[in-house]
Amino acid sequence: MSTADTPTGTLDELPESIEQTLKTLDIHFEKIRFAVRSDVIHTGTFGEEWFVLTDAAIFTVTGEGEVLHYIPYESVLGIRAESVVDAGLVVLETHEGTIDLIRYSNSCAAKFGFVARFIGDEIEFRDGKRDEAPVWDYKVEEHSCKTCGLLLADEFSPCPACTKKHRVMLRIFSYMRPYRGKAWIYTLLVIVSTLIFLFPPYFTRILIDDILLLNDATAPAADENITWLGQIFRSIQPAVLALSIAIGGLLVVYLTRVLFTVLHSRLSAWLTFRIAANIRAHVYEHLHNLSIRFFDKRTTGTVISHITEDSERLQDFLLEGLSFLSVQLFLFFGIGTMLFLMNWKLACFVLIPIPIIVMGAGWFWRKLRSLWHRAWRRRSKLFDVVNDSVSGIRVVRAFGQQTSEVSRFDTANVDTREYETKAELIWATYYHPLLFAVQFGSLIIWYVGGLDILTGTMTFGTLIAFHAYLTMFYEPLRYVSPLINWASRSMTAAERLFEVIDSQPEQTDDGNLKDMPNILGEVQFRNMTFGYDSHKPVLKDINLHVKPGEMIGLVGHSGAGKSTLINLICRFYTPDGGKLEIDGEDIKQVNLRDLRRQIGVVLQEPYLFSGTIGENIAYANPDASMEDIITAARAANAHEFIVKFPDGYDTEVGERGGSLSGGERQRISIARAILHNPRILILDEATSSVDVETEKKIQQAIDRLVQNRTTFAIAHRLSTLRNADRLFVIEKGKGVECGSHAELMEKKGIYYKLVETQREAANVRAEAQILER
Amino acid sequence: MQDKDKTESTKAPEQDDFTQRFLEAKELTFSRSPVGTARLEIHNEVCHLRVIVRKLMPLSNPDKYISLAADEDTEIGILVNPSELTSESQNILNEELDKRYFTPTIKKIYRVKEQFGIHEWEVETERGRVTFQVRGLNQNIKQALPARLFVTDVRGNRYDIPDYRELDAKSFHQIQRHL
Repeated sequence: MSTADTPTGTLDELPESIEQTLKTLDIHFEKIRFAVRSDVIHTGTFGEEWFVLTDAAIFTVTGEGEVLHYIPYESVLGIRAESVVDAGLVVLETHEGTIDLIRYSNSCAAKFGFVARFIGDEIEFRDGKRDEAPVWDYKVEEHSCKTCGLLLADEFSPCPACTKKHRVMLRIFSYMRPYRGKAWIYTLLVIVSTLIFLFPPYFTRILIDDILLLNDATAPAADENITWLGQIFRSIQPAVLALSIAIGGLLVVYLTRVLFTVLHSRLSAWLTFRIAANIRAHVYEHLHNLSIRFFDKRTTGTVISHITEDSERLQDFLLEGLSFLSVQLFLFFGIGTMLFLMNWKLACFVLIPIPIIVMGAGWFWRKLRSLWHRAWRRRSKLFDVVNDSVSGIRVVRAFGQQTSEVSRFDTANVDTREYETKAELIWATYYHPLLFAVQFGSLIIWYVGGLDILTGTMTFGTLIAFHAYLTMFYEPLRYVSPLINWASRSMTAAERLFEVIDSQPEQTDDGNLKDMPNILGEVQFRNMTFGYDSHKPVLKDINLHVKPGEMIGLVGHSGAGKSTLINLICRFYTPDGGKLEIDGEDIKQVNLRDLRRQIGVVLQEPYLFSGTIGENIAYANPDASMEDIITAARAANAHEFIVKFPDGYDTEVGERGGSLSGGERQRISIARAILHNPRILILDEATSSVDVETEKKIQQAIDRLVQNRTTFAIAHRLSTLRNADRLFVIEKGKGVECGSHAELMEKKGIYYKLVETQREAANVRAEAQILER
Repeated sequence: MQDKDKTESTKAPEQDDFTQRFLEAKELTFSRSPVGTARLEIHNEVCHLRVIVRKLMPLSNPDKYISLAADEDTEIGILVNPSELTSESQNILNEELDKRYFTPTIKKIYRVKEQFGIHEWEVETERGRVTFQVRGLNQNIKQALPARLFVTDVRGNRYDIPDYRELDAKSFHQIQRHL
């Protein structure tokens, strides 16, 4: 038996003690080839168990070194990794029967999947069912950060630990770089307008102490506390003039404040929309360079929400949240300083309710948020119920289920009501007590400050000004919690955006890429293996040599791997094992732009973009002349119906070509492919669900299209493949038959059976049609 | 086009038998082969050397309606009520079910700690104590009403909380804080 290239150390390291235990057994072996650790033991609890392959046998051993199974390698007939619900097990076929060898959780699925595939291939090779010994190409599927080792979701994700929140903020600001000057002006404006906010109460104090109450006998104000501005106003006579000047001054302050606020709000709007738009553009542009795998792992909705919702959320925060936060922050410290300068003893009393306000508000918002969220969930559930039964109203009526639908709605409705009430009750109960905590602070100030006035140590104006500051001081505290929340949610949104930007692009040009401006169209698969999860191969050992200009029909049951094969030719994915060559070059090394420019696709559901018919035909060659477009449309048998439209080639196709029939869309997409003039053409079930006449037209168009191009065609209706030079039959991911129609019919294999079945089905259909008449 | 998927069934069109076979517990015996494979004997009829067991309603009625199959595609029949099996057969059936349905049930949550958007859970399950990482709680916790939660970790393992309201106060608090 061949154990040619034995890998060591690439999987798990078998503990020394277990290795020693194995060596003391009677069972003789030369060396351990590899060992795989499982995280679930045979009884089903979490623990440690080992799968060990020596040169002579397979062992399973507990973490303590007790041997559970021992199977000589030569008695193994087959091996597979079976996935069960949320876990897996290795199953062995032996001369003695089937053995469930070892269990593992999904954490270990990739490595056991690989090991089972490797050993399986090796056994097939040993038994002469395979020409080549398997290659040990184990890839670590888990992706961890190269810097800190943290486990990542997939190979595209950047490490969250290495992109810390404050860095996210810095990155957002880095988008401000082109507008650096304006950003500084903005910051300056914020600071100035904050300072202006501090003026009015200060003026009030002078107004009261040094002008209004100056002549009052009850105000023998502590003269030593008088401010320099107060001195000036006191010296102005008569008092009416001083009053006018003071009011005038206040007016100027208010107006300046308005002016500055307007200026910084305008500037903030100008800046944030630019930043958000730039980030959005960057994300969108990057999205188009990402591998198809990136999109496989995310739903369309998620990707769309990255560009729309996340950037909107970020934008909202930058626009309103950030300026609110920065103004309030400045104010908080500005006023704090002011309070302590005016009367530090009184300022200390101001601090008393702060912990209560901050903690109370924190609890309040947290509670509300969770309830709101739950209420929102219930409401969307309610919406689902309505949506469900209204869209299915005919079914509901037909089955007479009105009552049960109503009661289903009632249940959801009551549920929604409960949570909405709960949330509102929390608001109603705690919002005002929270306000009271703020008022309580002012009560303290009135009392303590009042005492000071009575004893004559403080002026009345100071108390009034103090009080005015106080309200402004407490104001932001109430919103600390939701603001922090808002900020952190926006940062998460930003993180998600940057995650897209940081994801690896599909192909990076490291200088080794081959430019292939003129592909001939020779395609060769060499022992190619591929799976969307590489431990679950969808295609196995595909070998096929396609000459330039040849048409290959791909045949097989649905799910056999036909579409996957096509995805690989388009290089949406790269093979896990073996090679795929175009004109003798490994497809991995071919410049993607060159490759894709010379591959044309006509898909099952032709996708037309919103725009005119002409634009859609010219999609891949926007510079094509009108003559070329018409020639292509003519060849695709599309011209004849296009001229009948009132708007001709300027007809808007509407969303996804909704205004066109299936056959028309099909022919437009064929015209698109003809104009694109690819060297390699891919047809995916191009004729389906159209009437006989249209089918004939489409078939004719396709016949023109495939001439002189290497073509891969998938068609479920085998008759459409009659023009194919060769048919390649795929069964459960393996290429099982290859040859012309006549050859394969002669062989009476899988293809023959498929044809027979379809013929029977066709007969049944024909009979049914006759009966209908 | 329907004919594509029907290829298997059209092989023997004359045998159009779609009556489901419901098996009685008393006509069945589960046993183990010398190498540990689960065998199923239908009395006076047939013995299947390796039986595959599947729950038809693993969430709403996990203890009843067990589908028994000879291989992935060939169902032998449905056992409605396994509790009527002999205790030895029941044990074997339960062991096989345990093998196929791994999803650990969370009994107790020691802590949920967030770091860089990854939540690390340390929990007690019926399969022992385990620590796992969950990324983005919103996408990876699926709620089945009324109060069942499925948590999926970064490695694709799923954990079940059948009713979060029935967790002890401390565990409940851990979830509450993060949901």
